[in-house]
This record gives sequence, structure tokens and C-alpha cells, in this order.
Amino acid sequence: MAVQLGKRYKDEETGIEVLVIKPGECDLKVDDRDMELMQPKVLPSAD
Amino acid sequence: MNTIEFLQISAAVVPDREALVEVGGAGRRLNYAEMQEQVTRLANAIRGLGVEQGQKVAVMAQNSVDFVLTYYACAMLGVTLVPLNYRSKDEELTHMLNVSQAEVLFVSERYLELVNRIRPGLTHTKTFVSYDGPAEGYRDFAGLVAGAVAEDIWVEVDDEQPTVLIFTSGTTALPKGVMITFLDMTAYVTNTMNPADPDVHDKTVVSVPFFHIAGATAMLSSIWGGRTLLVLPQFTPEGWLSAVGDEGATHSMVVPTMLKRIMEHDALEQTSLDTLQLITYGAAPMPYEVVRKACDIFPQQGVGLMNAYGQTESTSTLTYLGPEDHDLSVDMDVREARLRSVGRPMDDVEIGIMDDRNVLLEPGDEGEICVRSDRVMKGYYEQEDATSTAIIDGWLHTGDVGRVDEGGYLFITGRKKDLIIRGGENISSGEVENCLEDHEGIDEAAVIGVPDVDWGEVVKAVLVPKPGATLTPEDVNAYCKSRIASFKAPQYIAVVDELPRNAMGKVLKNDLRKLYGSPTNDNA
Repeated sequence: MAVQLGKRYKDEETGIEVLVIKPGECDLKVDDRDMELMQPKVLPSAD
Repeated sequence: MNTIEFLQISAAVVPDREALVEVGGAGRRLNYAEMQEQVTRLANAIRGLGVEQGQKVAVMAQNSVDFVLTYYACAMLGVTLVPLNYRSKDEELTHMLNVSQAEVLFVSERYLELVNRIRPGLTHTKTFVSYDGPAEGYRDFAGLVAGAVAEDIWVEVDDEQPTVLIFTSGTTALPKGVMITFLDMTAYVTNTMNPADPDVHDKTVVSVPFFHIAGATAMLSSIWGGRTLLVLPQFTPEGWLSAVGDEGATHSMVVPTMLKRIMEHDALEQTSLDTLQLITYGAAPMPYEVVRKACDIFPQQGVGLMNAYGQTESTSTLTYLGPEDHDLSVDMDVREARLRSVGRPMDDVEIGIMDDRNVLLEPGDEGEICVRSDRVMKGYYEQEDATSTAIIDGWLHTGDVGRVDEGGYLFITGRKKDLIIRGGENISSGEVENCLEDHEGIDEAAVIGVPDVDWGEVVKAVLVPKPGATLTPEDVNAYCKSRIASFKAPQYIAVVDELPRNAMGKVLKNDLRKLYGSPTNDNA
């Protein structure tokens, strides 16, 4: 499965997050666990 | 993390999206790829002027695309940017440039004459660059950029190195430089803003000067978020409404006086607010009447309101009162009362209320607002005494006085250094001012202490009346006595057309004391 440009992937167990700035046809894994695509959440930005 | 990576990441994710748009002024537009190329050229040009990592570069200009390019070029080099308050007096400017030891000063056309005037007194700054075309004694900005190569520069920055040195308003003494590190800025921005996403395109209109922390963070958050930064050279309600109606701004941070002027402007009704998601206000106390009016105008049109309270010393926002708190359609009584608050702490901020011995007080008690957070400033530049007074045992002492209610909402009740002491009784200026601004005939109010034989000091109110209103000392005194403790009621008043304010809208109390500091009624 292709990872997508500008998307973030997370491994819940370690808390690692990856932001993709060059996409490609590959899987992202941590210790053989698939990293999951993160959904944007609203953050309390004042800017 | 070096903040230049904010730009590099967004340029990789959304290269064709507009990054910078000047609203009014030169009307320039740069997409992310173009911005990155311009920044790289400028970084090479600045290096060509002999500036090295760890040194400083200053800017004396209104907001502009070139100003933003200069920040990111400095970041690319590991150089600290010193954005100067363009409302400063000659003495303050000379002080800021000499203390910071800026190698280069970038100047917009409007300030060439002023800079020429102070040049003989500058001890360190030797190179001057004109943003707006050739000028005698200045290097030309456009020529510098065009003549430089676009070769990537990579330096490793120490997280503890300042990325910006921002001088605080200095209402009581010469300005102090607040050191905001690369780590402070990265922590603030990445904790509060999602990174660039091809599917999300927001647009921030920045109308607060870049020399203010809220302007500086807008410049960083917007680029990290892959947003389009709509740059207003200087705030006008027309320019702001154009950024919203014509350019489709989604987010904006304003100071209370700006919001008031926007709401009073005839063109507001004709301006489409369809794209606007959030208006943040802060940097100065918000008159209750203004926020109450805003609650009647904006949320119904789908525009959220947020009150953000923070300081330069804490890398911007400490607490916030979010859009749901401004929705008065539910829990109206509770929420109306909390409109007078500045909300609850951000996730990475701990608030403590302390007494004069730096002992933490119980919830509900009034005292100095102190904060702990990873993004509290490194200190005041070359002012160890001032730093050790401001940061004690890891707590930043804000100088603001307040209390926290049972829901965790912080209410600011005054300034620690802005107390009036009448016969041993402390009077918080903020409390009296809030009371006065609820008066139907008063538009704006500020109070100061004036000398008194019997009490040492008594309260004098400097008031801007509403059109057609007549104010007398007796009426004002009686009105206050009916609302707050009688000893807090002003004994004298001065009626004026406007209050002297700094660039961020804060009332200049020292100027008021000079103008109206005698125990008399003036123009009343």
C-alpha cells in the first residue's frame, strides 16, 4: 500500500509518528506492526 | 528542530500552494516552492554579508512578505532575528540595536529617515539593507536576493539557541530582550498546529506586527501548517475585511481594539464571512462590552471566537477561552460570566497563583499568576537580574494578578505593578477599569494613582466618554461606589478624546501619569 504525501502515521505502542514528505509504494511498520494513518484533530491554536 | 524545516516540509507537501500573500502594499504572492527558493537565496546573501551562525540580524519594518523571508533565511543560517518595534522612540531603538549587537539591519522605506537619525549612536550594526528599493547608505534587498545563489544551506542548531529576540513593550523602563529558542518555538507550534496536509488549506490573516509574539508565532504556525499567510502591512479594518472577504481568510488573531474597529465598520455587513472559522483575540484586556457584542455577531455566522492569554516570555498562549465558551445559546449565565475570564490552561502549561512570598495559594484566592511550561523563555538577554526576578524556582512570574474559579477558568484582575495603594489598601487598577467600562457613558477607561495628603495615593480615572455623554466626577464616583468597594472609587477624573496606547493597544500608564498625574479634575 502506498503511503500518502503530507499524511501522518502512528504506532500506538511506541508513540512514534511519521510525517510523509516524499511518498512511495511501501508499508510503514514498527516491529512488524502496521503504522496507522492519523486523522487530523482540532488543536487549540491561537494562530 | 530548526524552524527552517517548517518551510522545507511544507514546500515538499504543498509546493504549488500560495504561502505568502501581501494584502494591499505591493500585493506580492509566493507559493511554497517560490518561497523556499527566495529564502535560500536570501540566506546565501546574508551569509555573503559576513553574518555567521549565532549572530543576530534586526528588522525595522511593517509586516511584509520580505520580513517573513528574512526570518526563515536567518533560521536557515542559525541566526537570531531581532524584530524591532517600529513605534519605539529613538533612544529605545538605539538601545535594542546596541544591546542585541545586530550585525545587519533591514529597513522599510518608512523608517529610513528614523534609522539615519540614530545611525551615529549605533555601536555594532554596520550593514544596512533597504527593503523598498535603492537608498543611499543601504544595500538593496531585491538586488541582494537576485545576486545570490540558491544553494541549500544546512546548519545544525542548538535547541537552546534563540531563534528570535523580542523586546517587550517596555512601559516602565527600557525594553528587555526575551530570548525565544528554536526549541520553545518548535514546542509551541507543533503542539498547537497540525502540519501541512494536501487536503486541508487554511489561510491566516496576520494583522499583528511581527515584532509582537503573536505576530511571530503566526509567521511560524502558518508555514508549519501549510497555510496561506495573508500579510497585512499594518492593520486597518478595510484591509482585514478584504483579507477575509476577497482572499478567504480562515483564521485571524486580533487585539481587542482591532476587533472593535472591525465590528464598527460599515463594510462588515457586506463582507462574506463564509470562509472564516476562528477569530482569536488577546494581547490586551478585552472590554466585556466588546466581547459580548462579538458573541452576538460572529458565532451565528459560523465564526468561532477564542480569547488567548499569554506573554512573550511564555512563547505566546498560556490559557484560552475556546469557541464553545463563546456560544451563549446554552448555559448562558455561566458562560456570560466566564467571558470575563481568559479561559483554561493549554495542555503544556501549569498555572499557579502565588502570594508575595512566592507561596502557592488555594483555588479561588487572588494573587500573582505564575506559570510553568517547557516553553518559558530562556531569559532576558544579558539581564540576569531581571531574569532571576521573573523566573523563580522554575515558575515564570507574569506580573499579572488573578484568580482561578472552580471550573479552572483564570480571571485576570489587575497588574501586580499596576496597583494603587490608598491608605494601605491595595487597589487593582484592572478592577476599577472594568467597573468604569461598564458605565453607559464611558467608552474607555484607565486609572492611575495620584498623590494625596491624607491617603498617600488616591484613584484618578482617565476616561473617554461615549459620543454625547457628559461625565462629572461626582457621578463617576457615585457610580463606582455602587458597584465596588467605596475606597476604590475614583476621587478625580480626566475626560480625554483617546488613551495613549502602544503598538499592541496597551494603555501607556507612564504617559498617563505624566499628563494627568496631578490630583485635579481635568476637562471635566
